[in-house]
Amino acid sequence: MRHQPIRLLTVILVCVVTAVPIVVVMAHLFADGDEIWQHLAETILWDLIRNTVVLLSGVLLGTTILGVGAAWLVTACEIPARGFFTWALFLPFAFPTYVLGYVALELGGISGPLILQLSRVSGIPAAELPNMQSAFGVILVMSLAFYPYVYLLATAAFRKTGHSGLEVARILGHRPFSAFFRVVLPMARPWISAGLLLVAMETLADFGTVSIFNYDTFTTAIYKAWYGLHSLPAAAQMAAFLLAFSLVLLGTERWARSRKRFFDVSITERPMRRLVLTRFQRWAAFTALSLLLIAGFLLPFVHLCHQTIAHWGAEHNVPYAELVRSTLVAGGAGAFSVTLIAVLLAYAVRSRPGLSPLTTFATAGYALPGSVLAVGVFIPLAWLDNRIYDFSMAWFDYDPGLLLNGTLVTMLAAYMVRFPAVAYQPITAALEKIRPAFDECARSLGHGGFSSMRRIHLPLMTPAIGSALLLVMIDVMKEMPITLMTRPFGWDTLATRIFELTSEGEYARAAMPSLLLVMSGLVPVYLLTRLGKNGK
Amino acid sequence: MSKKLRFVLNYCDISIRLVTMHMIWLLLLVFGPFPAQAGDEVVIYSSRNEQLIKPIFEMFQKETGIEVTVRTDKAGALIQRLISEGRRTPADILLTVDAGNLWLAKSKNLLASVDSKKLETHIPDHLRDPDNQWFGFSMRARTLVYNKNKVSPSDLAGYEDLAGAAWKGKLLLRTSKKVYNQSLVAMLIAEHGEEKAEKIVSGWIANLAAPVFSNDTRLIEALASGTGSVGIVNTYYLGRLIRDNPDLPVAPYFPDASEGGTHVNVSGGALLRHAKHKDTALRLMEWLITPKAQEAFAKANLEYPVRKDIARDPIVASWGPLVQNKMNLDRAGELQARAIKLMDRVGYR
Repeated sequence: MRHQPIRLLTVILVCVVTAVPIVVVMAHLFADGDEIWQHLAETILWDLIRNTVVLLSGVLLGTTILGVGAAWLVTACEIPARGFFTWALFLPFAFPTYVLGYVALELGGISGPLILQLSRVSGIPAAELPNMQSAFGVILVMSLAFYPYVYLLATAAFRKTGHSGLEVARILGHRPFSAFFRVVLPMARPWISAGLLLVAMETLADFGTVSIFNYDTFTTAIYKAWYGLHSLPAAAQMAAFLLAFSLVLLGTERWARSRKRFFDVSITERPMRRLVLTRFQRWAAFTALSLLLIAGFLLPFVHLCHQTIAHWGAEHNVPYAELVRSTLVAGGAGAFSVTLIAVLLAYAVRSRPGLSPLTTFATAGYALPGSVLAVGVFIPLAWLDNRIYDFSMAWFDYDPGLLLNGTLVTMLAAYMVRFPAVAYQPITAALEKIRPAFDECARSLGHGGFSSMRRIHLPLMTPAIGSALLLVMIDVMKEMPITLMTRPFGWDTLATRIFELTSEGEYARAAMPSLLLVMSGLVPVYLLTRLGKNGK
Repeated sequence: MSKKLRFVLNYCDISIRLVTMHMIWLLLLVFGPFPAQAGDEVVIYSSRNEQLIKPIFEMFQKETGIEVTVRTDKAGALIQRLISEGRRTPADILLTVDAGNLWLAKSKNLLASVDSKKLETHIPDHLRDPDNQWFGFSMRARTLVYNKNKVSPSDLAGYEDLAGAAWKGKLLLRTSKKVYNQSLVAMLIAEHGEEKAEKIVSGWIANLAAPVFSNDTRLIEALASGTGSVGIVNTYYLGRLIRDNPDLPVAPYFPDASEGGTHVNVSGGALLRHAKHKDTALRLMEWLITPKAQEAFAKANLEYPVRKDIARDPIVASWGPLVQNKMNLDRAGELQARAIKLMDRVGYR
């Protein structure tokens, strides 16, 4: 490994650049925000912490049950329409959480048709019936929106390790149920926990969905301190707190993972011998998966279609083709940049495990609320812009204009801080399964680091890189606050359009851009499921 | 070929490919979608719903030939952006809703005073900044709404009365995180002092019929479908719902002079201190107060024009006269932080 200095330098540079916004946010820790903290501690802080903990544990539990359960059923059991479910269960990923939340409240809120009908039938006033505007409602919506992360990684894990683990356990006399819990699940743990980590970070960062439900969390308090009490320092301090918490989560996961190294036992996968279920079990599984698909995708999709048609007159003149295009371009560019960074980081850690803490820092941005992160990107870039201006005016008496601010550079930079975590997980997971013996073989045959990377790693890594690209692409397309804040003039996307409509309560009219956003998201989702199939 | 050379070539090969791919993306992005701009222009940072204001700016553009560019975002984010851009901001005008936001921009020293007879004559004192740093261009009333099947207007007597025991289990409110409610509570503080205001708001909370809503539309829908019997909303949300369904069993009630008047707020604009196109920006602001623009501006969202001589939309007109509470909105901004803390204390979520 003689050529490491160059690589090391690149990696450190990348880490530093992605860490700047996080440092900018952290720097506010020492500013004066005491008075607001005191106010919060006296009034709502404990409620916020309790709410956040309830939400986080609820969503983690929900996504584990939905994601792991569904993955197990479609990979290891003989059920009706298995092939269909395998890809269809990933469809809810195309839904932005805030859109799903909006639909849930519209249908199941206190004045929603479901609740009113129930009230009519039962004779109980609508206000006394449980409805979606509750802790349960938020947890349900977020679980439905986030379970695909877990599902995607768990199916991959079960496909790779499920059959051998299951066979061994069965030979040793375990029933399928106990074999699953005692052997298969522990073997799939690194993948599942990687998925859950993403879920946890996204839950902590979420502002849009919890505010639709008026469910107060730590993140809503950040916005209250910033927009309401006009204290960016206090807001940044709270964000730093959130960040510290996510660093702990990330660190714990990395630590737990590093204690055990998982290598694939076989590169060629044998088709799995699936469990044969009883008739009752088969149809129970079928019903459960259908319900999941209906709640997570079909029902909201149909509702959006319905709303779109109802408000066609008001919306059909808007140049939506433009918006779809810029959404896809932003998604593509974001995905490409983010994945590049993730690959760099993953390789750096592989060759130098000592760098691991640095990458933990670089992937922590996922737990920061979008607007806070955008401010972290914005402040240094605006500063840089002003310095360039001063320099240029002093030496050349020439106004270069705003070089960074309000250009796509800012937007991509913000994405590169926010999303590496999403790409990093599948890439490291795949990389971990390339045994070091391969590298050693390649090296003893005279192939240097990059040659062996291209000839051996790249083919093995292609599916993981592909899924990283697509995952990030979908996430970027759905992202709202960063895009709003850092996009160039005139660069409207579907997400910003949804913001414009909903900011003054035009929820029904936002159905059309929401529907288009979901449909644009279906393209990468479809590709992603194809990728899963080819990898089989 | 030496190992070292091969390594370098390999490295170059891969990095060149990656960089080229990246450059292509960037070039596409940078030069793709932007139309070239020339001539007079004015750049607006706006937190207002774009499809409401766009037709109005198009009118202006057609009339004057001045290009209007708009960037939409949340008010707080725009203000933060203006702070970090400093003197090099491309923006000329900040357009937003609620005086609280305009007050914040003023307190961060982002706005310029405007000396304009036209604006001063047509915009009433309480709807613009005392130092002429921001101006209200349309007015919105935050008032009581009731279910016509359950309540008669004679039962109602203003915001304070909703804290009384008669309304136990009947009141609907929107979240305290919305700046509209913060300004309303700020008005109560200005009128009654903090102690009494706190009593009123905690009385509201004790009377709630359902958990607070995240938006006014949802609140009115709940009211119409039989949950609770009275609520507090901005009237244009009600107007929109009535426009879609004239039989909606919900009507507004406007507190009269003896009850302190109705709480009003503005959607307004301000000239930025570091504006690059001050003349065209001022021209746009003065144009917004012309009868034609006022009518369009107010009608687009069923708000009230700030000029008295402009006809209201038929739906708005059908609600009858509006007696305004004349507290200067500058006060609302000043008291906003206190209002938020008050609401936190009494458990208004």
